[in-house]
Amino acid sequence: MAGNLATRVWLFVVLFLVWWFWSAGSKSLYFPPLSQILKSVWDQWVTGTARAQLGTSLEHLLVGYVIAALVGIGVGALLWSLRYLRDATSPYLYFLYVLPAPVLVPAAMTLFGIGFTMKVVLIAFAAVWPTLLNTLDGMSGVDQVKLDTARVLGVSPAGRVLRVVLPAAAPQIVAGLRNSLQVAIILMVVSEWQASSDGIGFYISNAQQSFDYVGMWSAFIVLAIIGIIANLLFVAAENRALHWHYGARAVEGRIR
Amino acid sequence: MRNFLTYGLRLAVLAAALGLWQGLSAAGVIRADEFPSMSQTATALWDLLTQSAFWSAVGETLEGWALGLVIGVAVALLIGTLIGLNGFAYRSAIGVIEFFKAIPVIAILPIGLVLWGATLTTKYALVAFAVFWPLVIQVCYGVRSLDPVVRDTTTVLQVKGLRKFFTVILPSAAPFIATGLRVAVAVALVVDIVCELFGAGSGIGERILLAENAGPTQYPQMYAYIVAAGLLGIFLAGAFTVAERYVLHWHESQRAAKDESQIRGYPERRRLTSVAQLSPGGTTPRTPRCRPARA
Amino acid sequence: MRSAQRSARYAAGVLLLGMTVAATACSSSSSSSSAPAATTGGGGAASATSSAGGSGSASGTVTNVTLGYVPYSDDASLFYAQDSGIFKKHGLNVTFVAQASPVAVEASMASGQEQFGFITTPVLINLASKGVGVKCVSTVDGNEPTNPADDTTVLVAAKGSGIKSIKDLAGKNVAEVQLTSLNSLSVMVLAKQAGIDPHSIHQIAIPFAQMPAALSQGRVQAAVIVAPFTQTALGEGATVLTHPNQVLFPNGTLTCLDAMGSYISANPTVVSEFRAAMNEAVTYSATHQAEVKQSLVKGLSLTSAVAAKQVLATNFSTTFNQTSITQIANDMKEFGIISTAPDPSSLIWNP
Repeated sequence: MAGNLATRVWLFVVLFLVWWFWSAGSKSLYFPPLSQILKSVWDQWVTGTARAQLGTSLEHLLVGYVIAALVGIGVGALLWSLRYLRDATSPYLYFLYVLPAPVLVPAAMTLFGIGFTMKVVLIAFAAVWPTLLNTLDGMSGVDQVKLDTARVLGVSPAGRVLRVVLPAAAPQIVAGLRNSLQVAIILMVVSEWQASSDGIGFYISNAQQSFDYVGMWSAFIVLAIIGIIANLLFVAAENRALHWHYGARAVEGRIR
Repeated sequence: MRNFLTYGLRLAVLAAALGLWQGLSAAGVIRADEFPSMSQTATALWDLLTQSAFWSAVGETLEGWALGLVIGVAVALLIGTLIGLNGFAYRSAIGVIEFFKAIPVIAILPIGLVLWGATLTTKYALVAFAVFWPLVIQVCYGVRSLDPVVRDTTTVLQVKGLRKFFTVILPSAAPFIATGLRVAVAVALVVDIVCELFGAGSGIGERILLAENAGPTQYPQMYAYIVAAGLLGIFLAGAFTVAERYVLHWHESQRAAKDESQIRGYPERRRLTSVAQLSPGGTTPRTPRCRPARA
Repeated sequence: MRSAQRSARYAAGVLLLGMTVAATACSSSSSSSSAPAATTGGGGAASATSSAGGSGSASGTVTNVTLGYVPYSDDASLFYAQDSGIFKKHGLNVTFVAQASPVAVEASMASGQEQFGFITTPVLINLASKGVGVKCVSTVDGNEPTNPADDTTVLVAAKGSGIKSIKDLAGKNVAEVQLTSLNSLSVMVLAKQAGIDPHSIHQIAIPFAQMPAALSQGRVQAAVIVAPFTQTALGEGATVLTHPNQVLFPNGTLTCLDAMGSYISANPTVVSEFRAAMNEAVTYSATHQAEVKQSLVKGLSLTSAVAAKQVLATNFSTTFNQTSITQIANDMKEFGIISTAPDPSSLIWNP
């Protein structure tokens, strides 16, 4: 166990030390010493003023992401049930998925102003597509035999969706949710870049313009930490929620 | 018959959406100095298609996309294979890879600007960076996902080394790699355009930025470029799907996908053509979470 | 085993292709810096191939240099120096690169892509206070004019905002093009002079072009705006409050063309030829405004008529006003934008 932990951690430690010593004597404005950066992370983000900005950003992220998740799964399920609507709209859904969401910031500013609403709407709008498309796809892939059995047994259409199709599609949906989280984090930063007065995106943009590169590097580290924590939380939740699924599949795999 | 109905419905949906846009603009719900009308944007898009400035912007975007993709993919294939084949290397590196994967590329854009200026280099360096991390994980998964039966057969038949790699491991990893590549193609374009949008190079994103800064008179052009960006993404993803189907036609999952359309009710195999595989976060394959082949 | 052979060939091909192209890409990355640089949204100045600045004398030899600029009307003299051959006469082959802000120009200079660049005084001071040695080598087209009619930067209040003077700005939203710009600094100085707390004003960064819409939509109650967008805002009912730059820094050096200290030390002759060329262009512009303004047609993609109507906000002086630089540095320090004020004399190149 300790050996396993050591294996997973040693490379991190080595890279960290390399960065530390290599940048230790640096006088460059753009690549400050790691010690300075870490100190800034502590001073600004853990104990300082930037923590409030981080809180604002995370608030936007949470609200936007939850909306995206609910809408994505809900609309995905709805579209799956209505075959003609699904066929008719699928190319446009795909188009909106492929469109890089940051280009829509000016449009969002036009329609929703420059405050909380704009950011949440933008995050939700960008993050909904992976979940939606994965939900659609996962539900389309459900075993037809199971569906037919459910229908024969008299399960209602809504029941079929909730108790047969959604659980069967769960791994795919979870993959989509994970992707949505990544997109949401990106949009959280981008939506605060322009015309904003708080948030981590504003912090980075401001730091860039004030040539505060120490601050920029510290924000970069904070973002990486956020991403990792979000990912870990996600994996933990996924394992809890889907343990029955993985267990079943593992059994299946072995029998094969 | 079904096809005609589908296409008809699709056109109807498009017409309805565009009509709604035009209606809102005409009614003044959408202010003319903040958002162009549908007709203005459509005209602008049509005009752009005949201008060389537009196509050179597309070319510049594609340049960054292609270079970044090639570098990212090549390095990911190499390193992913090396890491995947060795259990110790995999366990050591996976944490670091996940760490870097979690960083939004936008956060390192200012650093890239300082290193390379507002040039093509910044663009493709950042694209390669963004593409590398999720892809290397996919390659790892693929390399490690060897079916135990196949693995045992290779051992029994004493197939070793490079021959084993090329004839057994790589083909078995192919669907994972293909999924990863599909994701990489989409991510590369998005990152490329976003970099341009933030001043890192020239191309479609840059045109959008310039049009935005030039004011309401240029908004139709700006939204025309935005639509063009989306269309470019569709085109590239579509081209990739075609290429993938051609290259991997031999793989059983592609074959199963074809069979399945003929035999209804047959247990579904994972379909590589599904659009939902586009998940840079890493598709959870419908096989048990990859553990090392030996305990 | 045919399928194994096929898959082996496929795999080998992919890897080989990947590595070949990667190798090509790596080798071309050194020449990829010759990629076309950003151009303005309708064409703009000469397309760019950047090349390293050369050293050596300018007499007889032609040095290739790259210059980063932010497109606006006061670049007229700069464009004129290029179009009329003044640069060539001084042995300089200048390639122009249009960029969105002085910060972007500075980043390009730091990475070695550009040798000269447009910079505003606050950005210059900010950089110097962080230990980056940049120096003004020449003026762009002179210092801030003393006549308000010549000043194109205006602080306007939105229609219906009820703002009649600077005092009314307390607690309101004011739009600036960038939060670390001269404009935002001016607003804070004016606020302090009017007796209100400068930090009570919410400053929001919005591009100039979007300011008229933001004003009339009520998203911001005031804005520091420049031509030609000022006309749009006024046309929608905004009112002029004051001309911040002209009021605070008459005759002040608010912009300049700069170069990195290391480049200047290595290429003093090139830099002095550059300064001589710009001074010649600016002096000529003072007496031939109409002619020089026409260089904006190509430089900013304007029509001849629109170019002729542009106001050049300058007094065409070719000397730097060090007092104004000191004043700006002190203001920046007072409002916490920088922690230590750099020595103003170190910001200007004096050979």
